[in-house]
Amino acid sequence: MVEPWVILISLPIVVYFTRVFGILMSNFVAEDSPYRSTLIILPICAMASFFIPRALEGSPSEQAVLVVFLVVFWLTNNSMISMIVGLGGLLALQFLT
Amino acid sequence: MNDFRRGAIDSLGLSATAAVFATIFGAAAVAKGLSFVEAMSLSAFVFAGSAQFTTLTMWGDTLPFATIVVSCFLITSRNIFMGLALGHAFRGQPVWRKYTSIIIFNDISYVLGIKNNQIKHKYAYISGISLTVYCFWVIGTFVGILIAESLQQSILDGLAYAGIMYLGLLTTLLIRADDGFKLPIILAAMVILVLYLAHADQFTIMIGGVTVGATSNLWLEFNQRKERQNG
Repeated sequence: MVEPWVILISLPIVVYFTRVFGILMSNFVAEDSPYRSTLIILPICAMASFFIPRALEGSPSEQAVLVVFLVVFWLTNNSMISMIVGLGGLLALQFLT
Repeated sequence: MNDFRRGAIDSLGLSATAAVFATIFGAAAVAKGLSFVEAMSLSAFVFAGSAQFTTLTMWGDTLPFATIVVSCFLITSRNIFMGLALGHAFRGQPVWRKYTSIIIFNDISYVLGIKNNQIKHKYAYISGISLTVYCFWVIGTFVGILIAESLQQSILDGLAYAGIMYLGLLTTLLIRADDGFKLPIILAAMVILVLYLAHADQFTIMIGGVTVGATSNLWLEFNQRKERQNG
Protein backbone atom coordinates (compact mmCIF):
# COMPACT_ATOMS: atom_id res chain seq x y z
CA MET A 1 0.00 0.00 0.00
CA VAL A 2 1.27 3.48 -0.85
CA GLU A 3 0.26 6.95 0.21
CA PRO A 4 -1.80 9.01 -2.27
CA TRP A 5 0.98 11.60 -2.61
CA VAL A 6 3.32 8.93 -4.04
CA ILE A 7 0.78 8.32 -6.81
CA LEU A 8 0.26 12.05 -7.30
CA ILE A 9 4.01 12.54 -7.84
CA SER A 10 4.54 9.40 -9.94
CA LEU A 11 1.76 9.91 -12.49
CA PRO A 12 2.88 13.35 -13.78
CA ILE A 13 6.42 11.95 -14.19
CA VAL A 14 5.11 8.97 -16.20
CA VAL A 15 2.92 11.17 -18.42
CA TYR A 16 5.70 13.73 -18.94
CA PHE A 17 8.10 10.93 -19.88
CA THR A 18 5.75 9.69 -22.63
CA ARG A 19 5.42 13.24 -24.00
CA VAL A 20 9.17 13.91 -23.95
CA PHE A 21 10.07 10.50 -25.40
CA GLY A 22 7.76 11.04 -28.41
CA ILE A 23 9.24 14.47 -29.14
CA LEU A 24 12.81 13.15 -28.76
CA MET A 25 12.12 10.21 -31.09
CA SER A 26 10.63 12.56 -33.68
CA ASN A 27 14.14 13.96 -34.23
CA PHE A 28 14.86 10.75 -36.12
CA VAL A 29 11.80 11.10 -38.38
CA ALA A 30 11.77 13.54 -41.29
CA GLU A 31 8.75 15.82 -41.68
CA ASP A 32 8.06 14.37 -45.14
CA SER A 33 8.83 10.80 -44.10
CA PRO A 34 7.20 8.08 -46.27
CA TYR A 35 6.17 6.44 -42.99
CA ARG A 36 4.17 9.46 -41.84
CA SER A 37 0.75 7.90 -42.51
CA THR A 38 1.81 4.87 -40.43
CA LEU A 39 2.93 7.14 -37.59
CA ILE A 40 -0.49 8.82 -37.62
CA ILE A 41 -2.21 5.41 -37.39
CA LEU A 42 -0.29 4.42 -34.22
CA PRO A 43 -1.98 6.76 -31.68
CA ILE A 44 -5.40 5.74 -33.06
CA CYS A 45 -4.64 2.04 -32.51
CA ALA A 46 -3.22 2.71 -29.03
CA MET A 47 -6.31 4.71 -28.06
CA ALA A 48 -8.68 2.14 -29.53
CA SER A 49 -6.97 -0.62 -27.53
CA PHE A 50 -8.17 1.13 -24.36
CA PHE A 51 -11.48 2.36 -25.62
CA ILE A 52 -12.89 -0.87 -27.12
CA PRO A 53 -12.39 -3.12 -24.05
CA ARG A 54 -13.75 -0.49 -21.67
CA ALA A 55 -16.74 0.25 -23.90
CA LEU A 56 -17.60 -3.46 -23.90
CA GLU A 57 -17.58 -3.53 -20.10
CA GLY A 58 -20.67 -1.25 -19.95
CA SER A 59 -24.24 -2.47 -19.83
CA PRO A 60 -26.06 -2.96 -23.19
CA SER A 61 -28.06 0.23 -22.65
CA GLU A 62 -24.91 2.22 -21.84
CA GLN A 63 -23.29 0.82 -24.98
CA ALA A 64 -26.34 1.87 -27.00
CA VAL A 65 -26.04 5.44 -25.65
CA LEU A 66 -22.32 5.38 -26.49
CA VAL A 67 -23.06 4.32 -30.08
CA VAL A 68 -25.64 7.11 -30.46
CA PHE A 69 -23.15 9.60 -28.95
CA LEU A 70 -20.41 8.56 -31.40
CA VAL A 71 -22.74 8.50 -34.43
CA VAL A 72 -24.04 12.00 -33.60
CA PHE A 73 -20.46 13.23 -33.24
CA TRP A 74 -19.40 11.56 -36.49
CA LEU A 75 -22.31 13.06 -38.43
CA THR A 76 -22.38 16.55 -36.94
CA ASN A 77 -18.69 16.99 -36.04
CA ASN A 78 -20.06 18.99 -33.11
CA SER A 79 -18.71 17.79 -29.77
CA MET A 80 -21.17 19.90 -27.75
CA ILE A 81 -24.31 18.46 -29.38
CA SER A 82 -23.02 14.89 -29.14
CA MET A 83 -22.01 15.45 -25.51
CA ILE A 84 -25.48 16.74 -24.61
CA VAL A 85 -27.00 13.69 -26.33
CA GLY A 86 -24.56 11.28 -24.65
CA LEU A 87 -24.69 12.65 -21.11
CA GLY A 88 -28.43 13.22 -21.40
CA GLY A 89 -28.81 9.59 -22.48
CA LEU A 90 -26.75 8.32 -19.54
CA LEU A 91 -28.77 10.38 -17.05
CA ALA A 92 -32.06 9.30 -18.65
CA LEU A 93 -30.97 5.66 -18.32
CA GLN A 94 -30.20 6.19 -14.64
CA PHE A 95 -33.64 7.59 -13.88
CA LEU A 96 -35.63 5.28 -16.17
CA THR A 97 -34.14 2.01 -14.95
CA MET B 1 -4.37 36.22 -37.46
CA ASN B 2 -1.81 35.31 -34.84
CA ASP B 3 -1.45 31.50 -34.91
CA PHE B 4 -1.46 31.23 -31.11
CA ARG B 5 -4.79 33.06 -30.94
CA ARG B 6 -6.11 31.06 -33.86
CA GLY B 7 -5.28 27.81 -32.03
CA ALA B 8 -7.08 29.09 -28.93
CA ILE B 9 -10.17 30.02 -30.95
CA ASP B 10 -10.20 26.79 -33.01
CA SER B 11 -10.13 24.69 -29.84
CA LEU B 12 -12.91 26.51 -27.96
CA GLY B 13 -15.67 24.01 -28.82
CA LEU B 14 -13.61 20.94 -27.91
CA SER B 15 -12.24 22.70 -24.82
CA ALA B 16 -15.76 23.40 -23.59
CA THR B 17 -16.62 19.71 -24.10
CA ALA B 18 -13.45 18.71 -22.25
CA ALA B 19 -14.44 21.09 -19.42
CA VAL B 20 -17.76 19.27 -18.96
CA PHE B 21 -15.94 15.92 -18.73
CA ALA B 22 -13.47 17.54 -16.31
CA THR B 23 -16.43 18.66 -14.19
CA ILE B 24 -17.67 15.07 -14.13
CA PHE B 25 -14.15 13.97 -13.20
CA GLY B 26 -13.96 16.48 -10.34
CA ALA B 27 -17.33 15.43 -8.95
CA ALA B 28 -16.53 11.72 -9.33
CA ALA B 29 -13.14 12.24 -7.64
CA VAL B 30 -14.77 13.79 -4.57
CA ALA B 31 -17.34 10.96 -4.51
CA LYS B 32 -14.42 8.49 -4.57
CA GLY B 33 -12.94 10.16 -1.48
CA LEU B 34 -10.18 12.29 -3.02
CA SER B 35 -9.48 15.55 -1.27
CA PHE B 36 -9.61 18.93 -3.04
CA VAL B 37 -5.81 19.02 -3.39
CA GLU B 38 -5.60 15.42 -4.68
CA ALA B 39 -8.31 15.92 -7.33
CA MET B 40 -6.89 19.27 -8.46
CA SER B 41 -3.34 17.86 -8.54
CA LEU B 42 -4.44 15.06 -10.86
CA SER B 43 -5.96 17.54 -13.30
CA ALA B 44 -3.26 20.21 -13.00
CA PHE B 45 -0.15 17.99 -13.08
CA VAL B 46 -1.19 14.74 -14.76
CA PHE B 47 -3.52 16.48 -17.24
CA ALA B 48 -4.47 13.34 -19.15
CA GLY B 49 -8.22 12.79 -18.99
CA SER B 50 -8.22 9.13 -19.98
CA ALA B 51 -5.49 8.30 -17.42
CA GLN B 52 -7.25 10.33 -14.73
CA PHE B 53 -10.58 8.53 -15.21
CA THR B 54 -8.80 5.16 -15.17
CA THR B 55 -6.87 6.08 -12.00
CA LEU B 56 -10.15 7.01 -10.38
CA THR B 57 -11.57 3.54 -10.99
CA MET B 58 -8.61 2.08 -9.01
CA TRP B 59 -8.61 4.67 -6.22
CA GLY B 60 -9.55 3.25 -2.84
CA ASP B 61 -8.37 2.59 0.70
CA THR B 62 -5.46 0.55 -0.65
CA LEU B 63 -3.79 2.00 -3.71
CA PRO B 64 -2.25 -0.57 -6.09
CA PHE B 65 0.82 1.52 -7.00
CA ALA B 66 2.21 -0.72 -9.77
CA THR B 67 -1.20 -1.25 -11.41
CA ILE B 68 -2.01 2.47 -11.39
CA VAL B 69 1.41 3.53 -12.75
CA VAL B 70 1.57 0.82 -15.43
CA SER B 71 -2.03 1.55 -16.53
CA CYS B 72 -1.23 5.25 -16.68
CA PHE B 73 1.85 4.54 -18.80
CA LEU B 74 -0.05 2.28 -21.19
CA ILE B 75 -2.92 4.74 -21.63
CA THR B 76 -0.64 7.73 -22.16
CA SER B 77 1.84 5.80 -24.31
CA ARG B 78 -0.09 7.18 -27.29
CA ASN B 79 1.72 10.46 -26.45
CA ILE B 80 4.89 8.77 -27.75
CA PHE B 81 3.22 8.10 -31.11
CA MET B 82 1.68 11.57 -31.18
CA GLY B 83 5.08 13.11 -30.50
CA LEU B 84 6.56 11.02 -33.31
CA ALA B 85 3.92 12.19 -35.79
CA LEU B 86 3.83 15.88 -34.78
CA GLY B 87 7.24 16.38 -33.14
CA HIS B 88 8.57 18.31 -36.16
CA ALA B 89 6.36 21.24 -35.07
CA PHE B 90 8.53 21.61 -31.96
CA ARG B 91 11.82 21.78 -33.88
CA GLY B 92 13.71 25.05 -33.78
CA GLN B 93 12.26 26.06 -30.41
CA PRO B 94 14.56 26.78 -27.45
CA VAL B 95 15.00 23.64 -25.33
CA TRP B 96 13.40 25.15 -22.20
CA ARG B 97 10.34 26.29 -24.15
CA LYS B 98 9.98 22.97 -25.96
CA TYR B 99 10.15 20.85 -22.82
CA THR B 100 7.93 23.07 -20.71
CA SER B 101 5.22 23.49 -23.35
CA ILE B 102 4.83 19.73 -23.86
CA ILE B 103 3.61 19.44 -20.27
CA ILE B 104 0.23 20.60 -21.58
CA PHE B 105 0.42 18.91 -25.03
CA ASN B 106 -2.80 16.89 -25.36
CA ASP B 107 -5.00 14.89 -27.72
CA ILE B 108 -6.90 17.96 -28.95
CA SER B 109 -3.61 19.78 -29.74
CA TYR B 110 -2.52 16.72 -31.70
CA VAL B 111 -5.76 16.29 -33.63
CA LEU B 112 -6.11 19.95 -34.62
CA GLY B 113 -2.35 20.17 -35.29
CA ILE B 114 -2.46 17.20 -37.68
CA LYS B 115 -5.67 18.39 -39.35
CA ASN B 116 -4.62 21.98 -40.04
CA ASN B 117 -1.61 21.55 -42.25
CA GLN B 118 -1.79 25.04 -43.72
CA ILE B 119 -0.83 26.75 -40.44
CA LYS B 120 2.46 28.65 -40.83
CA HIS B 121 3.64 28.67 -37.20
CA LYS B 122 2.46 25.29 -36.04
CA TYR B 123 4.21 25.47 -32.68
CA ALA B 124 2.34 28.69 -31.78
CA TYR B 125 -0.92 27.16 -33.03
CA ILE B 126 -0.44 23.99 -30.94
CA SER B 127 0.53 26.05 -27.89
CA GLY B 128 -2.64 28.12 -28.23
CA ILE B 129 -4.73 24.95 -28.31
CA SER B 130 -2.85 23.28 -25.44
CA LEU B 131 -3.14 26.27 -23.12
CA THR B 132 -6.86 26.75 -23.84
CA VAL B 133 -7.67 23.07 -23.24
CA TYR B 134 -5.54 23.07 -20.07
CA CYS B 135 -7.32 26.11 -18.60
CA PHE B 136 -10.77 24.69 -19.41
CA TRP B 137 -9.79 21.29 -17.96
CA VAL B 138 -8.50 22.70 -14.67
CA ILE B 139 -11.44 25.10 -14.27
CA GLY B 140 -13.86 22.26 -15.13
CA THR B 141 -12.33 20.07 -12.43
CA PHE B 142 -12.55 22.92 -9.92
CA VAL B 143 -16.25 23.40 -10.70
CA GLY B 144 -16.81 19.64 -10.42
CA ILE B 145 -15.25 19.56 -6.96
CA LEU B 146 -17.36 22.53 -5.86
CA ILE B 147 -20.66 21.05 -7.03
CA ALA B 148 -19.86 17.46 -5.99
CA GLU B 149 -21.57 17.88 -2.63
CA SER B 150 -24.80 19.08 -4.19
CA LEU B 151 -25.00 16.26 -6.76
CA GLN B 152 -27.03 13.20 -5.86
CA GLN B 153 -25.19 9.87 -5.83
CA SER B 154 -27.61 8.57 -8.49
CA ILE B 155 -26.48 11.31 -10.89
CA LEU B 156 -22.81 10.46 -10.27
CA ASP B 157 -23.57 6.75 -10.79
CA GLY B 158 -25.35 7.58 -14.03
CA LEU B 159 -22.36 9.54 -15.29
CA ALA B 160 -19.79 6.88 -14.35
CA TYR B 161 -19.71 5.74 -17.99
CA ALA B 162 -18.91 9.30 -19.13
CA GLY B 163 -15.17 8.62 -18.81
CA ILE B 164 -15.47 5.91 -21.48
CA MET B 165 -17.52 8.29 -23.60
CA TYR B 166 -14.64 10.78 -23.37
CA LEU B 167 -12.22 8.06 -24.51
CA GLY B 168 -14.58 7.37 -27.44
CA LEU B 169 -14.72 11.05 -28.33
CA LEU B 170 -10.91 11.28 -28.41
CA THR B 171 -10.60 8.08 -30.47
CA THR B 172 -13.18 9.37 -32.97
CA LEU B 173 -11.37 12.71 -33.15
CA LEU B 174 -8.13 10.93 -34.01
CA ILE B 175 -9.86 8.82 -36.68
CA ARG B 176 -11.53 11.91 -38.20
CA ALA B 177 -8.19 13.72 -38.30
CA ASP B 178 -6.81 10.83 -40.34
CA ASP B 179 -9.46 11.03 -43.10
CA GLY B 180 -11.88 8.56 -41.55
CA PHE B 181 -11.89 4.79 -41.21
CA LYS B 182 -9.11 3.14 -43.15
CA LEU B 183 -8.56 -0.59 -43.56
CA PRO B 184 -5.62 -0.70 -41.07
CA ILE B 185 -7.77 0.90 -38.35
CA ILE B 186 -10.58 -1.60 -38.97
CA LEU B 187 -8.12 -4.51 -38.88
CA ALA B 188 -6.57 -3.19 -35.66
CA ALA B 189 -10.03 -2.81 -34.09
CA MET B 190 -10.85 -6.42 -35.01
CA VAL B 191 -7.61 -7.69 -33.46
CA ILE B 192 -8.28 -5.65 -30.30
CA LEU B 193 -11.75 -7.16 -30.09
CA VAL B 194 -10.48 -10.72 -30.56
CA LEU B 195 -7.72 -10.25 -27.96
CA TYR B 196 -10.21 -8.77 -25.50
CA LEU B 197 -12.59 -11.69 -25.99
CA ALA B 198 -9.64 -14.06 -25.50
CA HIS B 199 -9.05 -12.36 -22.10
CA ALA B 200 -5.61 -11.04 -23.09
CA ASP B 201 -4.09 -8.45 -20.73
CA GLN B 202 -4.13 -4.75 -21.58
CA PHE B 203 -0.48 -4.63 -22.69
CA THR B 204 -0.99 -7.52 -25.16
CA ILE B 205 -4.15 -5.89 -26.51
CA MET B 206 -2.32 -2.62 -27.14
CA ILE B 207 0.74 -4.22 -28.74
CA GLY B 208 -1.53 -6.41 -30.89
CA GLY B 209 -3.63 -3.47 -32.08
CA VAL B 210 -0.68 -1.17 -32.76
CA THR B 211 1.32 -3.89 -34.56
CA VAL B 212 -1.54 -4.93 -36.85
CA GLY B 213 -2.48 -1.30 -37.60
CA ALA B 214 1.10 -0.32 -38.42
CA THR B 215 1.97 -3.46 -40.40
CA SER B 216 -1.16 -3.39 -42.53
CA ASN B 217 -0.70 0.33 -43.23
CA LEU B 218 2.93 -0.24 -44.28
CA TRP B 219 1.86 -3.10 -46.54
CA LEU B 220 -0.85 -0.97 -48.20
CA GLU B 221 1.59 1.93 -48.65
CA PHE B 222 4.16 -0.42 -50.17
CA ASN B 223 1.63 -1.82 -52.64
CA GLN B 224 0.34 1.63 -53.62
CA ARG B 225 3.91 2.83 -54.23
CA LYS B 226 4.62 -0.26 -56.31
CA GLU B 227 1.47 0.33 -58.40
CA ARG B 228 2.45 3.97 -58.97
CA GLN B 229 5.91 2.91 -60.14
CA ASN B 230 4.47 0.28 -62.52
CA GLY B 231 1.69 2.52 -63.85
